[in-house]
Amino acid sequence: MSQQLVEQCQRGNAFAQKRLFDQYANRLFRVSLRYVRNEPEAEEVLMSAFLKAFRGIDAFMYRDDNGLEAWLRRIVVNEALQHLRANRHLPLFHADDDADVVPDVVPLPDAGLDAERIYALIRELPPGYRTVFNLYAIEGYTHREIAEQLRISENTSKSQLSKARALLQSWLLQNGYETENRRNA
Amino acid sequence: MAMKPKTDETPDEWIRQTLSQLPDAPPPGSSFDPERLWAQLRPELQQTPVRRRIGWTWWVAAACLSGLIWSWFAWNQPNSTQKQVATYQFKRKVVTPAQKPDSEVEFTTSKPIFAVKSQPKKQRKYSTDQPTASTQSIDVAPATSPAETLATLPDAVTVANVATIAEKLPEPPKPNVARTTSKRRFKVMHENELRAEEEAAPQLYHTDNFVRMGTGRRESNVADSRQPTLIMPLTTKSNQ
Repeated sequence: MSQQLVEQCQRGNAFAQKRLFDQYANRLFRVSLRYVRNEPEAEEVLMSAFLKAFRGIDAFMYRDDNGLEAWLRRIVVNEALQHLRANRHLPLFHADDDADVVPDVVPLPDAGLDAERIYALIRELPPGYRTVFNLYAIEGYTHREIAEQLRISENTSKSQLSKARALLQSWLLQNGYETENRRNA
Repeated sequence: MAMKPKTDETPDEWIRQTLSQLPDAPPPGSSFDPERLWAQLRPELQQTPVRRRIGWTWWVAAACLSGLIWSWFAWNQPNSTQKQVATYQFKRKVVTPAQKPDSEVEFTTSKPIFAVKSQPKKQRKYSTDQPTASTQSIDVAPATSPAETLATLPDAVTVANVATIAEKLPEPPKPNVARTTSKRRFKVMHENELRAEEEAAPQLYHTDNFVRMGTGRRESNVADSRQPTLIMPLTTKSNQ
């Protein structure tokens, strides 16, 4: 189904483009909103991402639906990072961030936590923490890739990630969620 | 502190799985409207194919132009190693008695070279210094009409010429001599000019090697039109 949609999009079929947009717009809007500050910026990022996707869909090789979604997600993430860079919303990473020691124990909540609540808490994180946490924990980037994308050192990326986790854990505790200790490193 | 990526896979995987359970809808309280965004997106999408088509057209035009330039260069290569076509043209100049000697009839025939390879050997005429040019002149017996002349052509002579070409065929093509301008070997000048030149120039050679063509009377009152027009040095060297 999606393969035919992609093939028609590659031929420039506007109807197929609309269907592909409808299929992924909400999901990708959530992805975009995890990176930028507010909804108008998220819409702007999503729009430029779809434009880029439709213009570059000729080079895309369809394998399965997961591959298509991963490709679209990657475009949205890259567009979001570009937006943050262009608008100078990326945080200034201080030198003392590198000196921070990554905590050995990071408590995380048990299963059963509301997904919407987790999503909202991630959006509440400071921009630097949030960006690194999104890229590492959710998108699956390595610290090296994050360092290249954000033009920071790998150690800064690691410290930002551990701080993000610690902050998330403290918020979850405040919200009354039970935690269990897991070894992080 | 070095990070071990696999050790914290479990919590990250847990968060990823939790977020994957999110409904396929905007977050609660969001004002996101996909239709509105599509309305903004569509005009920009419609501009894209036009730009791409124009770009494609430019690429095709550039490719054609470069192809033309390349073929022009290839055509004008002086030492191109093109294979010779296996058909030569023979121009036979046949002099008929009814016509004046300067009005010659030309017949042009195209024959495949390998078709006459099996002719008797005694009719072949080997010549080593024969040029590879395809035009050869053959004077044959008088005939009444060009058609008759062509019909009465001695086959042996024709075959001999063709066979000569066939013997030459395997050789690599020589540079086109006809294209190069021939060097001028003789200079036609007036006797007085030559004499003046001789007097002006230092005597670097012996004049006894010269022979004068014409009347030989230097101080006579012969008309200018009767004066010799060509003076050639008599040398024993070959004229090359």
